[in-house]
Amino acid sequence: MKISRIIVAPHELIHACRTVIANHGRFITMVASDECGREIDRFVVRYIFAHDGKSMLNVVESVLTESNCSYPTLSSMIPAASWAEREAHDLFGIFPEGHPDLRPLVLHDDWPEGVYPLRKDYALREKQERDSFSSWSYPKVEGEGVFEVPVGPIHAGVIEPGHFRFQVMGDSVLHLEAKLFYTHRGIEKRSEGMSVVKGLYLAERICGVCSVSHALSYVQAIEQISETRVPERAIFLRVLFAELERLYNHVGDIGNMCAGIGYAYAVNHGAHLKEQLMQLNDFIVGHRFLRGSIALGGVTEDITEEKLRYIETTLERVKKEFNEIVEQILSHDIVVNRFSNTGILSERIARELSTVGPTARASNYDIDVRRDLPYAAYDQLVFEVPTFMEGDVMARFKQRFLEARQSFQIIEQVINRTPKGDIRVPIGDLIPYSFGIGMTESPRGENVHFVMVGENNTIYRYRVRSAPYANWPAVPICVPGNIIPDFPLINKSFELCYACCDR
Amino acid sequence: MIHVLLEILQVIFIIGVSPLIQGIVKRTKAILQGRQGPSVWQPYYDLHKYLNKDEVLSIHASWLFLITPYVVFVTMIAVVAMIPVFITHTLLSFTGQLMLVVYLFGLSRFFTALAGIDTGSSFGAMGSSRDMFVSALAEPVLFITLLAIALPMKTTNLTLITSRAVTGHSPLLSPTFYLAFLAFLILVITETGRIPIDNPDTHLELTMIHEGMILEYSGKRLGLMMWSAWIKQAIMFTLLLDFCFPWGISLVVHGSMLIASFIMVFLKLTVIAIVIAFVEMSYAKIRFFRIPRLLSAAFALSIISILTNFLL
Amino acid sequence: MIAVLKRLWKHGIGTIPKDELLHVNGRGKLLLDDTKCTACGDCVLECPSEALSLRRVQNEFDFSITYSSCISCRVCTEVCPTNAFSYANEPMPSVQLRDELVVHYTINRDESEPKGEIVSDRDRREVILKN
Ligand code: SF4
Ligand code: SF4
Repeated sequence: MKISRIIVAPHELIHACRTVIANHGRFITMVASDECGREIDRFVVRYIFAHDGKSMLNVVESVLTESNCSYPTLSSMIPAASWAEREAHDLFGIFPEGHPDLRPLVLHDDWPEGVYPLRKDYALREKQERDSFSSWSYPKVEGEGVFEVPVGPIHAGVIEPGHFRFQVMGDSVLHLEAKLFYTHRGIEKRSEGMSVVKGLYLAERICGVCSVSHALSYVQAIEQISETRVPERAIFLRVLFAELERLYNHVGDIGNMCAGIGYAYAVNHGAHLKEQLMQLNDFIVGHRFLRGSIALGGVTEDITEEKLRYIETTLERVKKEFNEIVEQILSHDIVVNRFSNTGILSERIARELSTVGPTARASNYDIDVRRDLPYAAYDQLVFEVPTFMEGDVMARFKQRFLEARQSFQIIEQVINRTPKGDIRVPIGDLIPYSFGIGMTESPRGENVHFVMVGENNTIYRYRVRSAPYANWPAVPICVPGNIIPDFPLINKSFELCYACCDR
Repeated sequence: MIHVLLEILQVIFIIGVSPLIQGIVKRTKAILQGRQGPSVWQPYYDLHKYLNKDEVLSIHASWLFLITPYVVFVTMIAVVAMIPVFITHTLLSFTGQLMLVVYLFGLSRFFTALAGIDTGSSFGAMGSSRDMFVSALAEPVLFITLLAIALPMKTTNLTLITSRAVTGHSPLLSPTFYLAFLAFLILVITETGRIPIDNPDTHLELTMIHEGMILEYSGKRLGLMMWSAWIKQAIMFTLLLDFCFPWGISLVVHGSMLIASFIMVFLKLTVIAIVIAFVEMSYAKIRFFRIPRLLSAAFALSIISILTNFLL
Repeated sequence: MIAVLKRLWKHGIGTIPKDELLHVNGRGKLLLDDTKCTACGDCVLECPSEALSLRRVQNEFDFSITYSSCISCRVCTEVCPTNAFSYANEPMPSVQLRDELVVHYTINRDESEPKGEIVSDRDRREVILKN
């Protein structure tokens, strides 16, 4: 992947970005960094755009001085930039001028003002005293019969924390506001100064269920900086791991979506299939979530012929059962009734918010990193990227089903075509203060890792834009107009992870 | 004297066996889902655990919240005292009894709904509001359905209905009974809060109906609420059996007859629990605003049942 | 409902087929063979999550593994020159007290030439190499 950099003054940012967008650049994320260690005074903002199909990234950079650390906001032009700018505001204290909503995002209200944890002068191990908790301001809907229903962050089930404020009239939702980042662990701060080798273990653990994808994004970024050529066999095995991950996620999600409508039968049979896939993972790399399979410069472990055959037979069995189950679910009229026309995400919003992954594709926004900016061995494999027009829960359900079917095919190809050879090479030298951007398609969409290395092969700045980070803003938008009991279903149909959004 | 003893035994039987019925439903569901599932005795262990546990009470809870479990429990026992289980005689028996059953259910529901709102938790209030919505529709339908059953029997006295059902012409041949049975089955599912109306196993607070109202309870009171719900379920099942499949209920007090009817009733309850589990497994929860349609189907069925009673 | 029954008939009550093939390289509890370890300290330096520590206690070394920190990453098994580590075919232990998650081994190698006194201290987050 080629990266072309455009360096401009802060006041020219808007113009530069507009030009990139006019050239079909797709906004990915914004990365801020504090680079006071290297004769730059002091912050740098980088807007990253992808040129799908051309295997090229555009990075629009601008340096902000310490004395005047504000820059014109881009979120009025690119709504998707809003969260990234708010986050940079929280963590670096740089101001996007004219941003419509600068409420805290990542750090909650008990975080003292004027303390910016991602600045280089903030000590890593400092124990931060907290302010008393002031109330968070939500937009309120007023009128006769309008109620506010707060839900979470602690839920009745064992699920991740997130706070949701519904403004409802009876059971119909008028407005929804989601407050996330309860699981912000400061992974980006922690990684600074870590050696790039150890950083991989951190990257693998950003998310529970997308660890291959995160690890792959990370190693790709490092390999990009060091210009390492990964051996052929390794890139095929990487595809194998990535697709096995997609498979167990999609299969599990398909069952899990039925939990939103109390169709316990499908939930348990979905879980049953997922378990088989996870035991397969355990068998081939020794970890149910495939952790420790990706290494810098290749993969950690070779997959023997015997194991490949075992994968083949297991998948054949799972595939048959999976088709049966999905057929059974889709022929159930209550399921069809509840899935259809629920939680519609329109194509326009999907594009404006730069949503990614199955969510975007179910709303007819046809993007897929595997095809558009190919990595690993995807350019040598044949597969289709299904899309749907409707953008409702049903579309997202079918989307996952069709994608899982593609994954079965991809794995088949990998099993038959993996060449012999090395599985790992040492990585090349890392030039200090150069950065790389790794992008992969996780089961939830594209995971983008921006890694800038410092001296002695350490990480200088690490920014993770996971797929849920891009998709979360879309959830509160497509809930109003539905009824409250449908919210769990809609939420499940996006199947967003909180941990890798919050980091 | 022996009658009274047997009648008391009946009450104890239903109260005692209700967790087992719940256990059978759960176990069947688990098996249908491809799981092993907990043992059928699990509800007893649960009950034992709840009744021995400390409670956590919301600081906003008023006396209403505190007494509701007792009111509900006592109401359920009162209903149990009115329904024939394995002999047709009951502790309380009078004309118009059928209506009282409906009203007693109404009373317990009224208190549960108030208790749901009482603590100020939004889930409780949502549960209450939804439960009122459902019961506002279900109650008239229950009336009409009971009427459809009572009409051919020409009485609203449960003892008489049951004994007439036992001795009378085979009910399975009359369309009146068929239709009333179907309507009543829908009502059983509604009243016991099962899929497709409500999901008793859910952890999604936002979709709860009955579970939402009792979400704030813990310890002993939660145990009582659960037990009452199970008793109510046993009552609904027994009523269904009394009306539609009254075989084996003994009319006379006679040793071997009693044992036979006892076994019969137990078997019938098991079968109906399994049937309900099947129904639950085959359906998903319907859209909330579609519940009226399901209930209006029950309503239509019972109206037709009444009409056939006059026409045929 | 018929479909439900059909599936039940075909697949039975679900227990997942468990081949003996499973868990052949599962990464469970980390074990140290203290007869092999030479107290060289390589693993302590390479462990990404500071789960290992090595301290000199007079003539011996106290080697400890903190299970609550270990992420089963296989780094230590790879770097160890004497292959002293192995993974048991059982999960990490679950215990009641935090302290029980730390196991200690005493290493007494006269012939070994330790690189020095290595201390991995979680609170100070650094590994100190002293001679
Ligand atoms: S497996 Fe990894 S985390 Fe665990 S002790 Fe070894 S190096 Fe450390
Ligand atoms: S690397 Fe091996 S020999 Fe060296 S201290 Fe660790 S376990 Fe002992």
